[in-house]
Amino acid sequence: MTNHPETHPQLAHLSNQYARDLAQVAPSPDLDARVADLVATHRPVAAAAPARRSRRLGLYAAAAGIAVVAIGVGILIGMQMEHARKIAARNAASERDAVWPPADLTMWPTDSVSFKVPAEYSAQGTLVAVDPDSKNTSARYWIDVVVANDGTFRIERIVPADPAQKKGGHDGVAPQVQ
Amino acid sequence: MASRRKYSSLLMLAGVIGVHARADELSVPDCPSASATATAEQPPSNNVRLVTGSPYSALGTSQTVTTLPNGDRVVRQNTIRQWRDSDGRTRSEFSMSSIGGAQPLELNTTVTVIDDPEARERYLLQPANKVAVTVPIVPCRVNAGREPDLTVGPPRPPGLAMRVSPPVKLGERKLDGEPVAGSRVEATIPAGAIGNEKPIQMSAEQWYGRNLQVVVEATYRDPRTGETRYKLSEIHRTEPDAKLFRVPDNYTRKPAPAPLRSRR
Repeated sequence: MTNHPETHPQLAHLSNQYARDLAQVAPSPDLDARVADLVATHRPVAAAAPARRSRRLGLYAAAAGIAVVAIGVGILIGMQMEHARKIAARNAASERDAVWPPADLTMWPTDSVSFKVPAEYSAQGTLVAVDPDSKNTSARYWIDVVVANDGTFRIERIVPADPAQKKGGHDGVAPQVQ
Repeated sequence: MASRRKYSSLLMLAGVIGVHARADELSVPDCPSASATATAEQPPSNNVRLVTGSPYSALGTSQTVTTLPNGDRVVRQNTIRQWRDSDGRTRSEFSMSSIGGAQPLELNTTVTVIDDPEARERYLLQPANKVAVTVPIVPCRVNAGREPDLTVGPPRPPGLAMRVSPPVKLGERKLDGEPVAGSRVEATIPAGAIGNEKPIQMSAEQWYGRNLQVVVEATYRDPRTGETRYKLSEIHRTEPDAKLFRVPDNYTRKPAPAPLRSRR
């Protein structure tokens, strides 16, 4: 062991002493036997563990993947169902905006067709046709609409709906007329 | 001998058919005069003009343009898809978005109406609950040779002082190959009648198809609602599918509720 010329003398002394001690060390036969035994008994175990672990990891990954796909499909189906439900509800609502024929409006001589429509005022101040079965959000009116053979669509009259008459006619609605 | 029997049978059959057809014609009365519209004293008429032997299908488009005091314009458009078969049955599909006026109405709905003169009923279809609301109708014929006076003109609510001119003939012309006859009605609401400082002038002009026997083009002007233009397009003179004039089998027929005044 050579020391650097600039090494501290005390440190150089200790270093030389450690080098001499190390040279005198001889491996113990007992240690060799123990090492050989460890190598002989633990090598197969050490070799099998990563393979099983990787198989398990593969299974876990596959299961997690299937679960993710299943959850995704479930979410998609749910979204589709919700979307379909909303569309159906919207269609049903628009279809329920049904109209009734007022029995006291003449069809002659204009080949006209008349409708009776339930409506309420919107926040914008316009009359909006509503589902007759829906709960009132504001005062409800019956609007008599006449479509004449010259293509004119006219509001013939607007009559406040009588809550007492709400039920009792067709589909829970009775028309209001003069 | 056998041929004589054949001829006499044919003659009898022709006679029976002729008598039957005549009876059918007789059972449909002439339409009342156009001036005989319903008034406060007179009950409303359920007369529906019967036109046979002239099938067609077409699309009627009605556009109303309302100009606001600030110069802004509101355009509303509604359509009527219409069919008529050789027997005079009609089907109309009204696609309504909104209707203008002092109180505009937002509709966004389609209404289907079938008129069956033979059954003497009008059906208003309610698809949501599969109901066909029925209204009795009385088919009538416009006398041949008498020009049908169907000019609509402005609404004439009883009690409103309004001067309405007799229809002015505008002559004849062709629209998309269809011969049409025009007429115009002018109407005035005098000053002060509805709180108006000046008289309100309205006019209605329409062009009536001689072969189709429906209005082919019309214009209605009213300063309160604007100008409405109506035009028939996509006209086809072929027999429509008979299914269009039938109430679907899964529909329940219910008569229209009686007016309240008749219940009192």
